[in-house]
Amino acid sequence: MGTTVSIDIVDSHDRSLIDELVAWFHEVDAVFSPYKECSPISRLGRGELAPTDAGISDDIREVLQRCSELAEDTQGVFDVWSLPSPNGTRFDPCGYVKGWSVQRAARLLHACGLADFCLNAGGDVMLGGRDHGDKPWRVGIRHPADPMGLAMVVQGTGPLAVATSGTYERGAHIVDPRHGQPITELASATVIGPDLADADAFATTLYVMGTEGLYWLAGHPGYCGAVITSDGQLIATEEFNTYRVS
Amino acid sequence: MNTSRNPNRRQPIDPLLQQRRQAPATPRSAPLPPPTPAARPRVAAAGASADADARLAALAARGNGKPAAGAATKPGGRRTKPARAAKLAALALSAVTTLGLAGLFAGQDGNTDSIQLTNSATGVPLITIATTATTATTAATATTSTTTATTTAAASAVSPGANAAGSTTVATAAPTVAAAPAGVIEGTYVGASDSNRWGVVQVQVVYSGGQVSDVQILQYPNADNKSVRINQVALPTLISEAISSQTAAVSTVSGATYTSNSYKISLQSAIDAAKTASGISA
Amino acid sequence: MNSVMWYLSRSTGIVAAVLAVAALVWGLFFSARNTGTRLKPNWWLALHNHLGGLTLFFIGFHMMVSFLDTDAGLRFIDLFIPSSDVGWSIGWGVLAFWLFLVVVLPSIARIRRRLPRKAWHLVHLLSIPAVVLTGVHAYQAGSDALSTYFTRGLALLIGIAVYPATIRLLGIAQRRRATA
Repeated sequence: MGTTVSIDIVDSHDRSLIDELVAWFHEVDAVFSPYKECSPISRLGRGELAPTDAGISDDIREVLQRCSELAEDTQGVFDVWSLPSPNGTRFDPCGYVKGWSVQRAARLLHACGLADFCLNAGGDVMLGGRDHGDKPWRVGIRHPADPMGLAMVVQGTGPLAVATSGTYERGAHIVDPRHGQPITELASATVIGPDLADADAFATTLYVMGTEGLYWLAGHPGYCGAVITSDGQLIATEEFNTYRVS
Repeated sequence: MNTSRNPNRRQPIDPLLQQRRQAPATPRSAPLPPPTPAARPRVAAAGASADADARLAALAARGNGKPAAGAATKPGGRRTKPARAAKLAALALSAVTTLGLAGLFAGQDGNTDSIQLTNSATGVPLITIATTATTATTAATATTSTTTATTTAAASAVSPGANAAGSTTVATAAPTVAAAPAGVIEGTYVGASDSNRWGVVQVQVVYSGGQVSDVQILQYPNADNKSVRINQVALPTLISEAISSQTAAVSTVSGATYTSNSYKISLQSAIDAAKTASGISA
Repeated sequence: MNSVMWYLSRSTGIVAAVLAVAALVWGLFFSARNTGTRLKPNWWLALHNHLGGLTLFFIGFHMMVSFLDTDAGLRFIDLFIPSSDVGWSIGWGVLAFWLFLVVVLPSIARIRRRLPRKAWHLVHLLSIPAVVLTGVHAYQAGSDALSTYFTRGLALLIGIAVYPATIRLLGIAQRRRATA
């Protein structure tokens, strides 16, 4: 889906494991990419397939199910059915799929007995266990204005997901589905929690909702968030600050 | 009802029990009435079941000559109903209370469309802030400093009852501030507390330099009205600080989705390169 | 219109809860022989039955109005079956409704006469958990749960229910000891 995945596994492992992970991500790309005209997602978006068809795998169904739950949970803010998609339809689950695919990859690593790892797909981070020095993983949150700088650093031991949503390079590409206008209040929003796919969706939702989204997020146990406003203010909840080191 | 003096009055008062103890001389003095609330007690007392009759028939011979004594029956009489006045009173009271409470709740709901601000020092009313119980789109379109919602000081001002979560943005957390009239005196203005279905909202606006410099919500909406659940989650305290770009040793960088191209010039790629170089597998 | 339904939902709920506790108290006084000499036992029983019927009526009214209040987000089936979609705050209320139904309906004389007394009595005891669940539901689901008047009133109501229940239990214990 046009992004890069960084894989960092602490324990020694077979080279073939990396190949397996890469294969998994390629498979996700093939199935879910909206760039490919013939992918099941594009066909779903065009209405050629229905979610209950035989051609839809369980994975797709799982993604669709969770996306519809999130659409309701976020009161329509995170709604994959109202986003303009590169393939011309208005169905783009990429925001969810990215985190979901990493979450699955993490599950794969756990199944192989590897507890310490760090996966980063396009800015969505999934942590497992501890890092190379047996210390908690340190994750930097990119500074909205400076590509090479960090706004803050958080640390934690796995399993932990860190997801950030914002404008950054793609410009004001996130629109509020409720009125179709680009978001202007925040520069970025970060969510920390146990599941990366949900954290990613919540980060996008938080970004759209603005600062009050932090109160909405408070209703989701296990997840905490922080936002950076357009004028450089960081607003974080107490819980989020327990992860921060700087 | 039980107007006749009878020694059985001090006996156990359970009607069925009464049945078993007394002579069933005329246990069925009244025909079985339909099971209406008013008739229930009489049915219980007078409508003896057949086997009780049979058992008690033997006792009849024992010479308890007072037919249906103590049983709460009035032979043939359905004229008086026990506790009739009390029943009517209960019914009337319930109806009146229901309507009265409903009216009370209606009165409590203030006009939530606008909050009048008064200068907290002088008490002079200022402007009216329109609050809309809509979604966070109002936050996105608000003009000057919107709800930074820094609650560090305001947290203590939150009423004890408002500890339930402000878990939805449907509530009025985003006032759109009307343009300040010219010559506004600097100061802090506090709006009257206004309660609506989603909780209590009180707004504090700080003017400095003739402009709105801060808007604070002093009390927060508390219920997720969609599902009438009250999340037992305390409102998070928000801590605000300015940030500047920093460098630090991190293992990975979380940021908004970068494309494959932008990855190459990103910090993440530098980190990954460094890791690869130092022999850490990737 | 929704707000009207919301006000009514709250007020009928409160009234139904008060009626339920009153019916319970009346029943407890009656069964504990604690009726004094001024008011005849049948007055207590008659009023107890009446209050029970009124409770059921107001519960029904409360359910209907809550359903009509679309802001509450209840589907029709949520009135009758607890569901995780609306949460246990409503679920306890639904259970309380069923318990009250089970307590009141078999007490209608026509049905009661057909039941063995012990069975009927056992079922009738379900009124106590029903009142407890009512309290839980009132606290959890009520928009008023944050008002101090409401919580204090609820505490008072529970106290009013607990007092005669204790006396009744003490009476039973006393009797057991006497006859043992």
